[in-house]
Order: sequence, then C-alpha cells, then structure tokens
Amino acid sequence: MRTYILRRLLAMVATLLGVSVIVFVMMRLIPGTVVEQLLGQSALVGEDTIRSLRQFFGLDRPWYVQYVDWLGGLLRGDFGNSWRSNRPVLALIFSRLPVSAELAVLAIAWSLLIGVPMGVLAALRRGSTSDSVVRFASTLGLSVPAFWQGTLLILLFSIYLQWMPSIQWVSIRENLWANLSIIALPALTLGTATAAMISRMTRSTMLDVLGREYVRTARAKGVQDRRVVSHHALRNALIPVVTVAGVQMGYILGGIVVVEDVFSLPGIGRLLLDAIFQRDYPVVQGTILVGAGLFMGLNFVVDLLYAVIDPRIQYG
Amino acid sequence: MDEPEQDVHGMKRREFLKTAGAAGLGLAAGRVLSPYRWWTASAAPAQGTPRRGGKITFGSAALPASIEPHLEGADIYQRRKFLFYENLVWVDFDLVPRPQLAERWEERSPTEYVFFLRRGVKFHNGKEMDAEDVKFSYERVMDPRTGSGGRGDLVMIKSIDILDRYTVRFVLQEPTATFLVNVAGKYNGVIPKDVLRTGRELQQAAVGTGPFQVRSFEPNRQLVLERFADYWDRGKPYLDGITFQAIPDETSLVAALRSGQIDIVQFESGVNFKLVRHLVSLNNIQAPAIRWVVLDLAGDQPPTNNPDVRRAIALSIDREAILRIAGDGLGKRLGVLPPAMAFWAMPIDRLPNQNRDLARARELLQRANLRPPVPLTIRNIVGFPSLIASVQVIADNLKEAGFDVRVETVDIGVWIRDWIARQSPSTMNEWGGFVDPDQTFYRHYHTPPQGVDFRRWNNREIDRLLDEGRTTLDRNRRKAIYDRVQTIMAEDPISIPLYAPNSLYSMNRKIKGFRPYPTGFMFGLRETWIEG
Amino acid sequence: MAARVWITRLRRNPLFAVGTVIIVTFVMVGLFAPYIAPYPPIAVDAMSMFQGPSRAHVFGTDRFGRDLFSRVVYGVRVSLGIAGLSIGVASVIGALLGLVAGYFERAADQVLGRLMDVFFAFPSVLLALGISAVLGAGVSTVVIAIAVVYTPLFFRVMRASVLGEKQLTYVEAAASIGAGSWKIMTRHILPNTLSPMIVQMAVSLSYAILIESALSYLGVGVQPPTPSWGTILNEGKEFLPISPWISLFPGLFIMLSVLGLNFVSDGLRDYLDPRLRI
Repeated sequence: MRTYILRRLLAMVATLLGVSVIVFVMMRLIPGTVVEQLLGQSALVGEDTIRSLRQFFGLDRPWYVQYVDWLGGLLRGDFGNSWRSNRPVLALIFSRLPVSAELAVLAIAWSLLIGVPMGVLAALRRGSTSDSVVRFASTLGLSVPAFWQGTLLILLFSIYLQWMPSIQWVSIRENLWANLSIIALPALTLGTATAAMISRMTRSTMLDVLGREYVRTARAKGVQDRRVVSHHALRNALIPVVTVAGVQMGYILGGIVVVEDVFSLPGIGRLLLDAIFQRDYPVVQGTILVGAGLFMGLNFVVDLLYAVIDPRIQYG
Repeated sequence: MDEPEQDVHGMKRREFLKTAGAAGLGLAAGRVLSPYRWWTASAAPAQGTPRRGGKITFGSAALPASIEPHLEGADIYQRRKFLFYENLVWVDFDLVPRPQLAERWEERSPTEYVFFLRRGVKFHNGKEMDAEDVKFSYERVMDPRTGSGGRGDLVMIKSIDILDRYTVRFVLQEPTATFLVNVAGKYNGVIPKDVLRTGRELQQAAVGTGPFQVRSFEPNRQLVLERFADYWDRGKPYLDGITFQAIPDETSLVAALRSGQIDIVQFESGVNFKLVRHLVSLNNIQAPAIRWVVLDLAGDQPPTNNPDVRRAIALSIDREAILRIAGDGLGKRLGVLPPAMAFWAMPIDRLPNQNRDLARARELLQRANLRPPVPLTIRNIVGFPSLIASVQVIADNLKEAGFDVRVETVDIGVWIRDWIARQSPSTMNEWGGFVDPDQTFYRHYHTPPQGVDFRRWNNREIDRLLDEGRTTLDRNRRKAIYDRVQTIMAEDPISIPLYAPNSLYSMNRKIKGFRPYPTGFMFGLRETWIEG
Repeated sequence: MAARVWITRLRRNPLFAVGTVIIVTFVMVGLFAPYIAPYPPIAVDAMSMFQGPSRAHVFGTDRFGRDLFSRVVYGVRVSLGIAGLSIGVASVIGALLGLVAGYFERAADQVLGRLMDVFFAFPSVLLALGISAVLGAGVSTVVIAIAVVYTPLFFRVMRASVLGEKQLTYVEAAASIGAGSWKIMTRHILPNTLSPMIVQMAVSLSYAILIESALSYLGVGVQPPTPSWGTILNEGKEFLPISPWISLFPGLFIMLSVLGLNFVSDGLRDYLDPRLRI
C-alpha cells in the first residue's frame, strides 16, 4: 500500500510537471501578449516602449529560461504575481476558490442525492415503467448542454418569475440563504449530467450485485428486501459509483468554467477566462496547475477510498 | 426623442474582451473651443439643489484588471480613472480645456506654456501636490521605459521646467493646437513623486488628487470609491461613495436595476436599454457619443488598394440597416466624424459616397477590371458583438454588389499585434475618445514617421493638411482644413464609418445631476447627488 | 456488422431504434440542408428582425432578420460535421498510438502513456479552450481542439484491448509461426478491438457535439455568420428577454442529437461489449 501511494504521488508530480510545461508553452504560442493588451490598438509608441514593456514582464528571455524561473518560484511556493493587477496569484486563486468549490460540492451532492436513489429504484424494478422513466431521464440528463440548461433556468426564474438573487457574491458565512439563492441554479445546472451518470452507474451495478450469489442467498434465507438492498446490495454497488463521482470531477471542473460564465459567478473559471483573454500568464499557469492538481488529488483520494470500502482491492 | 439627448457610447462587447485595451485611441484635443452644446440645451440637469451624502452602486458589464494611472489603456478603466486622478487641465463637457490642478495658465509664446498650480491640493495620502509631482508625472508618461500608451500624445513637449514650487513651464518643439487637450489626456494623471518604488505600486491602489479615493479594488470585479474629504474643490463631491460592480450578464444588470440592487447602469447593449426605457421608475439617458464602428480598408492589399474598389465598397454598404441591426437603432449615422463632435463634423449630405448605390458600385468594380465575385477578406475581433453584428450585414451587403466576403475572426491580441505592426488586412474596428480632429486623424492617417498611417493609405495631400491643422491655432481656419480632410476621406474612403452608438444610461429617479460626457468618461459622477 | 443484425437490434431495443431514427434523420437533414431550408442561412433582412415563430419563419428570426429554421438546419451540417470529423481524426490517431503502445509495451508504452496522461489531466472543455486560443477561433480549430481532447481516450481504449488480445493464444500462435509485428497487429489484433472502439466513438461523438457547442457558446469556437448550434445560441443570449426563441431551438437540436447518439451508443454497447455496460 505504501509503495502504491508513493508511486501514485510520483506519477502525479510527473504529470503536473508535464501539465505545467504544456500550459506554459501553450500560453506563449497564443498570439499577442500582455504588452499589446496594455497598449491598446492605436497607442503611438515606438519599439523602445514595446521593448521596455517586454523586458518588464520578462518576455524578452527565451521561453525555457522563463519556465525555469517560474518553476523555481513554484518550488519555493511562489506562484508569482498577476501581471495586470500585481496581486499574488495564489491569493487571487484562493479568493475565488470558495465560489467554485461550493459550486462543485453542491453539484456533486445533489447529483448523488438524486442519482443514487433513482438508480436503485430502477434496478429494483427492472423492466417496469419506473425503470424506463429513469433510464430515459438519465439519458436525457446526459444530453442537455449545461449552458443551455442554465440559459433556460435564467429565462424561467430571472426573466419570467423576476426572481433575482443578489448580484454580489455572498459567502455561506455571511448569509446562508442569500448564498444558496445565488448558487442553487448554477449547482443544479452543473450537477445534471453527473446525476444522470451516477443514476446509470448505480442501476447497472445494482443489477449486477442483485444477481450475485450471496444476495440471492440472503433473499432465500428470508432476509427482508429492504435489508438486502441496504446492507448487501447497495453497499457493494456504491463502490463503482464513488469512482464515477471522482472521475466526474474532470467534467465538473470543465463545467465550472461554462456555468460560471452563464451565471456570472466570480469563481476560478471566470478568473481563468479573464486571465486567458488578458494574457496574464502567471494567473493562467497558476490556475490551471492548481485545477489539475486538485483533479488528480481527488482521483487519488477516490482510489484510496475505493480500497478502504472494498477490502478485495489491494494495491501493491 | 423622449430621452434627453446626451453623450457617449453604446458598444456591446463581451465583458472579458473589454478589459483589453480596445479603444485606446488618444484623447485630448485642441485648445480649440468646440461648442458641444446642443445636447446640454435639452438635457440641462435643472434638478434642484445638490445635497451631500449617500452612496450609490454603479453596474456595468466589465471592470479593468488594473488601475495603474499611466499604463492601463483599457477604455473601461479610463472612463473611471478621473474620479481619482486629475491633470493640470481637464476638457469640460463642451470639450473646452478648463483649469483643474492648474489654477490658470499663460501662453507666453506658441511654444511656451506656464501653469500656475492650485495651492493646498492634497493627495489621497495627505501629501501636498507641488510642481515636482507634476513634472515627475508627465515625464513618467513621456519616458519610453515606462511603457505608457500615452507617450505619443506628449511628444511635442521639449522640456518641463519647475519655475517655483507652484509654477511649471512646458516648452514645446513646435506650436501644437492640441497641446492643452493632450495635457488633459487619458493616459495622464498627477501622482506623488515619491510613491513609486518598484513601479508597480499603483496597479491596485491609487494615490491621486481626485474627488474620490479608492477604498478597495478587486480586479475585473469591483471598485469601491469613497469621498475624499480633503478634496481641493470644497463641498465636492456630493456622494459619500460609489461602488462599481461588474455584472457581465446584462440581463442580470437589468434585473438588478429593477430590484434596486444597483442605482445606475451603463448599458453596452441597446436591447436591454430598450427593455427598461419605458419604466417610469427609471431615468433613462441616451447621449450621442464620440465613438463609432468603422470598416478600415487595407490600402496596400488587393483589391482594396484600388480607390475605385474602396468607393464601390462604401457604396454597397447599407449604413441604415447596420445602425438598425447592429446599433439597435440607438445611435447616429455619421459621415467621417461623429455628430457628437458637433463643431467639426460635416453632415452626411455634404459628403460623397454616403448612401447605398449598388448600380454605381458594380460600375466601379467593372472600371477596376474586376469580375464578380471579387474576393475580399474582412478581419473581425472575437467577442465584440457590435462588430460581429456589423460585419455580417456588411458581408451580406457586399455580396449583392459582387464581392465574395470572407470574414476572418481573430483574437484581440492578434488584432492589436497586426494593427500596430501595420499589417492588418481590411478590418472591423471601433474608435472613440477623441475630442479634437487632430487626435482622430493625425496618427491614424499621417504617413510615418510623424503618424502611423495604419491603413497604408499613403496620401500626401492628407499629410499636408494634417500638418497644417496641427500647427494652425485659429479655430475657424482649422475647421476649414478639417472640412477638406473629411471631404477627401469621403471621396476616397480608406475608412468607412458605419454608425456612432449612443451612450446609454439608466438610473433610479433619486439620482440627480448625472451628466454624460462625450467620450464616455464619468466626470458626471463628480456632480451627482442623491435626492433626500 | 451486417444490416440484418442492426435491424434485429432495432426491434429488440426501442430506445436504440429511436436513437437510430434521430441520427439518420439528422444526417439526412444535413445532407439535404439546401433543399430543406426555406431561406439562405446568412441572408440579412433588416425588415424582419426579431420575429417570433410564425408560418413564414417557423423558428422565428434573429437580430439580422435571418430565418432561424434555415440556420438551425444548416447548423446540422456544421455541428455534426465538426463532431464527426474530429472524432474520426481522434480515433485514427488514438488507435494507432494505442496499438503501438499496447503491442510493443516498454518504452513506447511508457512515453506515450505519460504523454496521454498529461493531456488527460486537463478537463476537456479547458483543453479545447486553450487550443482554440492558440490557433484562433474557427471551424478547423474546433476540429483540431476536439480531436486533441479525445485522442487520449481512444489511445486508452485501444491499448487496453490490445493488451487483452495479446494474452490470447491465437496471437501467440501467429507469432510462433513467424508472422511480423505489423501483420499480427493489423490482421489479428486490430479487427478484434473494433467493438470497444466503435462504442467509444459513438459516445465520444455526443461529447464532441457538446464541446463544440460549448466553445461556440463561449465565443471562441465557430464564428458567425457560419451557423453552428452553439454559435446561434451565443448570438441569442443577448436577446433572451425579448426573443427567447433564438436560444430555444438550437439548444433543442443539440439535445436531440446528443440524445439520439446516447441511445445508439447504449444499444451498441449492450450488443458489442456487454462488459462495459453502464
């Protein structure tokens, strides 16, 4: 187990290193830099001005020198400062992270809350109308583009019902109700596809488990159906579901960017989009690295959980 | 028109792109008095006696990433910066240079100006402003190592000399009609001499002399201003504070305005303005702006290197339709200069090639020996809705005349890079912020090295006229020169202005005294107050 | 995969049938778009801006007075075309790389595997967003971006099934009678890996449609006036309060096509690859 963890951690570091190189190179491949953004379209400036600005941002050095420099900072825990606002990148990220984290957690929570019972129900009544409804609904859930769903919700609530949450972000600690009224629709939107995925997964693993020997034995021994489901079947069926929830983090992270755009939420996604368009390299690099790190870390934790829940699995 | 006619801009672009320095054209204009009075007549804010106190929230689609006084070229920043930074001179609502930090000035010769500073002006950090600060601030903008986009506006300055603690002399290379207006330019602002150590201190905090001081700033999200108690103009401003809040989605902006969460909005989209303008609970202002959407042609690339083709393009475009569709009908048509530059702008009916004439366009194409379909690439910038809307109408219009238009959409970074490098193909563009025709024309059309001639027009007659206009100080003689410039530009349309969107504001009825400024700057908030 | 098998599946699985009908219909609509659309998709008409659905314009018109039905119909071509092309490219490249990695293992596997892991670490929308920022918005960019996003997936599927096949005796037998690597790969292993690949392609197609529409919706994908569904939605969002129909119909079409593909891929999975059933 210990070697496994170590190996996984090493692999993660290697992957993150790869991610950092790719992001770094990619940003520098995007045409136009922060210098042109700053100057505006018809600033009448000479080569000397442009040169001094490039120097100011260190853009005059070869990209690998810039990279090593940035990496050196990272190793010391310094993600650098934003080129536009001069704020520490980490501080920027942590000021936005609560919004996105809450969004992601709520989305996952409600997708589990909806997805698992729906899947169980469908599996227990296989072939019935409720099974068909669940299967259809979950496929539908996978098919709705998140931004479109968000648009329709805005149309319904903000425009037709004139139900307007606060335009300024309110954190949970400040005011729970105001916070929920802001984040409910975005979380609903973000979690729809995941809920659908989880319900499908739960259904199929439940079917699988219900068909197994020991469950049939338990049933034959006269154990009540409810007990069978909750003690035997569901527990085993949930193992793969946990994995799916973990894997869905990738979808959620991408979805956050879109949903934050649709609902104008001031989260990590918004920060990243702004930074890309402003060519604020340190912010883009930092945000993506933190995002990828979180994503891989969560997957790692899920895999470990997996081993804890399911004693049959051993990592060696 | 049921709203008072006033100033400014109505371009709807995606919020994140706005933060780019898209409309970074130089401000500042002639010492020349441009009687920009015709809106004031109808919009005179005779609204009772101003009352002190109260805070307001101002909603807009986007906020800047930085509030650096001399570097930040983003229009969304520059609109707000003069609430906390000031110059020796400001250009008033009628586009006339007026004293600000300088109490008065003397023009000792056409190349020598002496400014007498106000005494007892305090910076937000408590220090008193003096001649050292003035010299330092303007020289910082002029220094290429600073990297300010406003450097070009100040190139006529030969030296800045301190005569005593409250007197500064500016010596110019040559007489320059726009000197005072350029001193008031949007890249300038007087800062304390000793506030900078690394040069980056003012990206997120501000130390100016303006009526408000920055209490907090969150890049792209929120800018909170509070009343500066030691402001030199005693009694001003009236408001205790202004919170600028970015709300990228204009639909939410409308809802927030209706629900009272925000007090005043500047709309980018005419559609949303139209939605609220019938509401009696709101005071809605639209004002003609010095800002316009334009199709710029490449003077050195076929087929637009042929003046006949340029004319054919101008004659094919249905500007009325563009104003209706892309401008939501809330704007003005224009010939060469927008109607908001009232003294200078020539009316459409005195200029050639202003109306659609497909037969004539086809004839011109024939004369140029071009057989339809004539391929033409028009560049466009990602995420600027009014440009994207305009170019689609243009593409359809030109198709009818025998062109085959390919719209090439590029990122703003690419766009700016090629534009500055004078390599841009024919492209959509948006201009604004000028208060004098010299600013509009000189750097844009004069051949290098004096100008940039971004479109490679290479027109020697224009060069001559622009040089003459720059050094002529008499206003009426200048008017004649710029009339000639406008006529030439309409005869050989290297730039085809499409429409000038109005500035659109909505505010609750308690807000009084807000006046739109022609370039969209928010000088009006200095005089705004809340009814008790 | 004979047509007969397909037809049997259709009969036994109604959802599969529904999906097939949807997809076939969409493909037909795409192919015959010029005959189906009543107006040219980019013809501007300043006299009929923002008209609600009516007999003349069944889906209404947009700010340019363009007929939305025609735009959505042409959008089938653009959106499905991009999805098909990008998944085609991704599956070919991913399969080739996966074949090499799975067959040779060792260094090839290590290098390719790590590389793919790196790309896998990006959320797909973000990766696509970054690529389109580098290459500049437009149709070909979107195709490349989606192809890059999905190549690692096909790589993994292919590699896994190659590793599985290699354990089987017939491969060993082929090797023992002296068949070359290339021959073993193409003749023996490849045909047997088709099932999981086909299932994966069907699933990925639906995601490709979603990614294209998301990119275009964010404004960095297909650019107007080219009508992709996402682009139309992007153009409509500004006008949501006054003309919601612009945002309604293209979204509906995205949902329908993705739904159809999901039904089809579920059916294919049940049939071709029951182990993977979800």
